[in-house]
Amino acid sequence: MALPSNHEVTQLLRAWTSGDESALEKLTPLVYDELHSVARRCMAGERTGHTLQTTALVNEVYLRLVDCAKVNWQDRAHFFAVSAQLMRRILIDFARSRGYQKRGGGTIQISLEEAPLVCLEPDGDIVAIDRALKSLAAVDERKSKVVELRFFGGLSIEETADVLRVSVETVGRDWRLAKVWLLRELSQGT
Amino acid sequence: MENARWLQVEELFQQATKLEGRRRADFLEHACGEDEELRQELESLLAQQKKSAEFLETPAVQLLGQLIAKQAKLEDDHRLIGTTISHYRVVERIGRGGMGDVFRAVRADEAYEQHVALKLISAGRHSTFFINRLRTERQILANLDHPNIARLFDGGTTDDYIPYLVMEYIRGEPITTYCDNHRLSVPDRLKLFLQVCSAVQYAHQHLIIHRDVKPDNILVTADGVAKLMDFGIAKILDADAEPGHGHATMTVTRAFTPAFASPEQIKGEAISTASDVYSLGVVLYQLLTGQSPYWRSSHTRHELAHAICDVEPEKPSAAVISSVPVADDKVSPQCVSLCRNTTPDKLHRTLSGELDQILLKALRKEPQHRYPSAQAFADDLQAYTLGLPVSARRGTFSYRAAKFMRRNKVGLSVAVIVMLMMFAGALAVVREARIARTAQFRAEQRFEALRKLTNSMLFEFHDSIEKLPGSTAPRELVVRRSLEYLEQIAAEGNNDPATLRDLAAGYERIGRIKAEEGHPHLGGAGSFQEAHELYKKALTIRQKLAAANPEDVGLQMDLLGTMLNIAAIYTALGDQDDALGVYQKQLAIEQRLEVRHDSEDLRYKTAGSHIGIADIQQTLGAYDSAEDHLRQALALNQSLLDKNPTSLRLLGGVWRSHAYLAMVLKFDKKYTEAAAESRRGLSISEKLTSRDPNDSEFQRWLINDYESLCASLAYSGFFSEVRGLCSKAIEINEAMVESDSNNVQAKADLANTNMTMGVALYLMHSLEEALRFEHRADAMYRDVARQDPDSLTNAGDHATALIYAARIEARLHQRESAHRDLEQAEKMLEEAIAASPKNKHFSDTLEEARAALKALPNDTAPLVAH
Ligand SMILES: Nc1ncnc2c1ncn2[C@@H]1O[C@H](COP(=O)(O)OP(=O)(O)O)[C@@H](O)[C@H]1O
Ligand SMILES: [Mg+2]
Repeated sequence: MALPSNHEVTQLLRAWTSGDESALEKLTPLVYDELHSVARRCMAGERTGHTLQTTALVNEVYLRLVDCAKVNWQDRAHFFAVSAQLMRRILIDFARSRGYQKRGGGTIQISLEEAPLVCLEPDGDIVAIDRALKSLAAVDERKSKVVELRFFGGLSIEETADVLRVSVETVGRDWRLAKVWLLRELSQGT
Repeated sequence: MENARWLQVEELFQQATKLEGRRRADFLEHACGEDEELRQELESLLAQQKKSAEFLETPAVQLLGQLIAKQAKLEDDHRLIGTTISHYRVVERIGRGGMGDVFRAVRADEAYEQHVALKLISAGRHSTFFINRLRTERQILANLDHPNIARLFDGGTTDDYIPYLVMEYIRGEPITTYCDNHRLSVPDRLKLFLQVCSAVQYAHQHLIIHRDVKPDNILVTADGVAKLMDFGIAKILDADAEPGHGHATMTVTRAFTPAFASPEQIKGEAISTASDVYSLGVVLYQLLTGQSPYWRSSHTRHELAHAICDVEPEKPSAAVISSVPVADDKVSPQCVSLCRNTTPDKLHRTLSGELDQILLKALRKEPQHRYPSAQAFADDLQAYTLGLPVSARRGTFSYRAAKFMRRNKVGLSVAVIVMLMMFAGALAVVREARIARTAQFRAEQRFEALRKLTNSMLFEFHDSIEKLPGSTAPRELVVRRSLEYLEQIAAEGNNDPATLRDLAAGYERIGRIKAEEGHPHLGGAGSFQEAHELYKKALTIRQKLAAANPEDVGLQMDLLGTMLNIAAIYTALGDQDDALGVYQKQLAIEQRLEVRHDSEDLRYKTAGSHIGIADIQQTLGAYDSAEDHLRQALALNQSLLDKNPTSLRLLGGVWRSHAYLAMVLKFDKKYTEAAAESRRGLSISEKLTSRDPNDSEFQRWLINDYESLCASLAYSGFFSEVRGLCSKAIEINEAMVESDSNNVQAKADLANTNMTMGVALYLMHSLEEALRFEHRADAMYRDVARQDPDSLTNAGDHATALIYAARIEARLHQRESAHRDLEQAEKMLEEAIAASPKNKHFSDTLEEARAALKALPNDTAPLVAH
């Protein structure tokens, strides 16, 4: 499956934000590509803790776009926001399709014992996280955005602050509260 | 929730996260008041805080990638099950570890069905790195044959060129699970754990460090036999490892399991057999307390690493009763004790005391403070179960408590017995080797193993107890015993340089034990003749080795070291010319070497030669030249230290330079300068003793600095600090003497501090008090002389004390006592001068004694007090 070219990515993203769902399908391979390269690294036994943040993907695409010069995006921030949203969509769809979600109370999770070196502490049920995140958006929209940008978009605290045009401290505070809020939500087993 | 309410929750939450424990509770109390709902909202959020540290920190794409990898592996397993590898049919996967998948398999072509464990590298891991590790594991296992280590049957390569191992199949559970499922009591757990120690010790004796000791790698069978497995990151010790560096090896890149790793593994520093001792400690901690030593602070990897490297573990006995409010990951005390067939209270009592000490010792952050071997660890546990004293108590005593050392010497003896038992093992190796040789069976390797063991006694064990108060006698025993073995090896015709080098080092170490009892400045107490003989034996060997290998800098350095020791002995014996001769030869060698091999070590030794020369010159009264040499030594040491600021040796060099300068300046009556040097020395010795209060060497430095500063201040008429300084010196020194009555040096030091106190008081006109101290000093010098009759330094110091006593007595109209003291001083000095005619101090002091004798009034009529 050929990956879309830079120009196409720009077009597709714009199409998608303006409601064209078919664009999503064409963007999916981009994210899958990243996904599989992570998987390959994991299987090769590389240590991929969260030190290896995946802004890589978003950044790489962005850089390619900037090179294109013809970019119509207002700014980098907007691009990041859209990409994070995109990744969230694609990853959740992927997880659902593979059945990586709670089934009858049992969560698919790699326990620490099983994967001491491969990859560290996966948080398991991504689909449930997505659902909890929607509830959070109802209470506090910005906090849910922070989580989307960080967890799905792979952005750092600083980058997130840039995108949302708030201070780094604010993002830090939002992040802290959002995490415990989500954990509580998840533990209540919705 | 309405907006204002949410904002309120958020604000209070953020504030509360900054507080802990009681203060947080108070804050919530105050902030929520009657609003029960608000409080619940906040508490339920805060309760998640611990868990939340790692939550969501790994990006989603990463997590999913991991899941895909896992899925792929499961599919991979599926592919193997039912297939046949070599003669083995793969039945099911029984384990997965860091690099391998382990399957149960059956030997298909036999009449009976034999179950085996088959270890293969996991799918996706077929890199050269893992393939080599599996090969190493195979090689290691092939050499190990022990009831508590899973045996290797076979090994080979699959059709895809993937190496695999075939091992004894162990139907069992990880040791922690086994113990809990069987509700084993503490004594039973200890028994089981001793099996594990014996396996680890066996591996160490075969020069193998396991590096991944943890419950998952220790299975216990239904019959209660523990089996150590997974030598996947084990390390074969390098046969050419530098002696004296222990058996150090660098951590490999394949990660070990952090929760059981030693601080040095976490930091990526050199690891040794002591690292396994540490991991064994963590395992035992879990077996006994049901929790990790780091449970308080190990929610993220970073915290865990910090806890391993820097946080002292909680005492096991405390860990089994403390219940913490927010402890979702901590097992309750009731549950823990139930699994151990007891109650929290009883469990607490069982662990208190010895077991606490033993565990904390195994878990010391610094490898050299842990048990020197798995065997030593096991022996202490054994001693505990037999109700014998354990050695672990020793290391944890602060110096202030050194008076309790007497009781604990028993502990030290246990450690020595442990070492001797290891020797018994070594002896068996020798015997085996003899038989083996007739069978033409790689005898050299056996000898090599023995040599290494002896080497570890000589260096690691000796050095590990060297600094403990009370260790003189055991150290000597250990070193002598090692020497016997080394001599035996040499006699067997194994005259390889490594053995000879160890032999020389052995002679030198006993020599040092003997000589160490001497005075740090002048040399004196102690059996110097004996030390001299031993050093000469070492010298002969070293000279031969150095001559045969002129390009080997290490051997030349060894030779220099021995020469330095000999020169120090000559100095102590009063043979100034001989000593100077040796030093000059030494400087010549150093200068020759420096041209080609400039190094810290060499410069440090050069500084040492300067100090040695200065030491001789000051006895000859050549203070200016002595000062000159000392300033050179100081400059050398200081510049080395600036480049390598954490080096203890160099710090010692700087300290020594200051201390000698202070002494020489004092003799030269430059008291103000002398006091300044003492203060510089003091800043070092105070820092070192506060950092390591058990170190008897640093204690001596501290005593020396207090004493010399006190003397210089008193002589120059600054009395305000004098009493305080001297009392401190005496207090530390007394504790030292009490902790080790064989330590002549400590006694001589104490005599000196008392004398100095007396002199200071005399200068302050507190005559009666002064006299009491001089009399005390007198008695102690006598005591030292009984133990070490040949010491010239002691004679000189003793005479000085007597002269001061006489002066005070004269002032107090005790003419007869004064007369008697002076005559005695005169006699002692005459004898000292006969032995060391050029010693300026002796002749000066003799003159003083004679002058004082003359000045004594002849009439017995009381003098008018001043
Ligand atoms: N000989 C054996 N008998 C039974 N189980 C075994 C055996 N060897 C390994 N296992 C199981 O497989 C797991 C992983 O094996 P291990 O040798 O530790 O591999 P790794 O080097 O990958 O950690 C072990 O924790 C244990 O549960
Ligand atoms: Mg393992």
